Amino acid sequence: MDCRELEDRLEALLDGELDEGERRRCARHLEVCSGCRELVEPFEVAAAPPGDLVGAVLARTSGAACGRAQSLLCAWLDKELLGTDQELMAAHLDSCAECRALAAVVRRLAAELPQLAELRPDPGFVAAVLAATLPPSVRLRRWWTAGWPRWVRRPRFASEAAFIGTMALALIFATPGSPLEAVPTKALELARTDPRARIETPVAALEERFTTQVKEPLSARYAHGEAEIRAWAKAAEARGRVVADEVGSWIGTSRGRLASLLGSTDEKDSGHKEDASNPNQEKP
Amino acid sequence: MELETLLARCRRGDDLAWEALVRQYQGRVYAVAYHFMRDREEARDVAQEIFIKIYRGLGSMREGDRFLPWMLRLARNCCVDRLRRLKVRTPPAEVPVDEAPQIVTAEPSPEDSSLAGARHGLLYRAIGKLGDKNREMILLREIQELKLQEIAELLGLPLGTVKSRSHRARLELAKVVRVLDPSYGA
Repeated sequence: MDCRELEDRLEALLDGELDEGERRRCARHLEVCSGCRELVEPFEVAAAPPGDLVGAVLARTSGAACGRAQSLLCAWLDKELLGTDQELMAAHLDSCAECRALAAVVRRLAAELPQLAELRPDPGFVAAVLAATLPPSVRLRRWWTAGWPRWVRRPRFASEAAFIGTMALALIFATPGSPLEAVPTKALELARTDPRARIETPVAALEERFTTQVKEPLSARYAHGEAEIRAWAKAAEARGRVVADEVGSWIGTSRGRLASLLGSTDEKDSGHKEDASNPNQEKP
Repeated sequence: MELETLLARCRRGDDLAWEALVRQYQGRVYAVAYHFMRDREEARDVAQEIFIKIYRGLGSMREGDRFLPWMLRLARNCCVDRLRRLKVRTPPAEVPVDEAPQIVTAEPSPEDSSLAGARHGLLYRAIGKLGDKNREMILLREIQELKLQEIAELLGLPLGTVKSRSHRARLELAKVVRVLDPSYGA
């Protein structure tokens, strides 16, 4: 083996990737070649590189790769990167705690953000929307079928109804000038009087009213009507007689004319028959 | 009921179908409104406006349009208009952990609720610290889970731009979260 051959195999030798035969050949060459031995000696002391070496080198060369990694982070999480980019990202995330933490946050956000898609508005929201969109007739119908029973079942409804009823009664019966203002006073008077008087007096009053307002006018009208009917019947009878007389007279007259017509016809016939049987009769 | 059937009935004027649609999407619409307005009362008002526009615009949906992106586009435009009308750049509000809006979850336990509330409060605080574009991208891509193509159509941007913005927004949010809570993700 010469020096060039050793140099070709140097990296593999240092990485321990040579087979037994090759390693022995390299070892024999190193025993006799001081130049090649100088190349290999520094590596014979196994020393791990300092932890921040990569960062230090990058800081003095291209700068940290985190910017590039973060620009590809979402695509990497979404599995949109192709082969090499995918591997490089994975390698960077293995070594960069900051980017790894950021990836974890993005991943978790992707899971939690969709939970914000729906928020619960206040309970009256749907009713308000329907009130603003549905036609008035539909809204009224819905209120009547759904709203009215709910409204009536409220605990305050009884007290509200009592209050309104009281106010209505006060307005109707207690307001000066109201047509029913005197009703409560009369009611009290009635309550204080004898129950029998309360019954008899109204009955007598009713009877009197009936007599004056119904019976007597009806009787008078009936009497007047009866006289009218009689008079009409008489007139009709007289008229009927007149008509009968006229009809009778017409019948008599007609009979006479008919008889005279028939009589003249008979004479003519008989005259013709005599003429026919007596040729010598002078003709008019 | 399938969404397409529900939408067809709504277009025909079926009031029950409309109510069902409102109930089904009230959470999402309110979430979008809150994301932009950062205030519950404003979010409630804007959410109602959004639903009114949805109601009036259902007939104008193009054949084949997916409902969610269409709705989100409408919601986003409504929120942006509202912010413009307010004429103030609403600063990213600091949302105290115990005042975070209630998330729609399925039967959380009390312990889970308090933990979830704390976690979501942290997320809202972090989202509030993002810039407008990044915050919007987080809303559309990460929260509402629209596809990149749908976002591109919604915002009128090339697909590549949307993709890179999405990645940048996720990264920025992750960095903000790490600052607010270094133990998040550990």
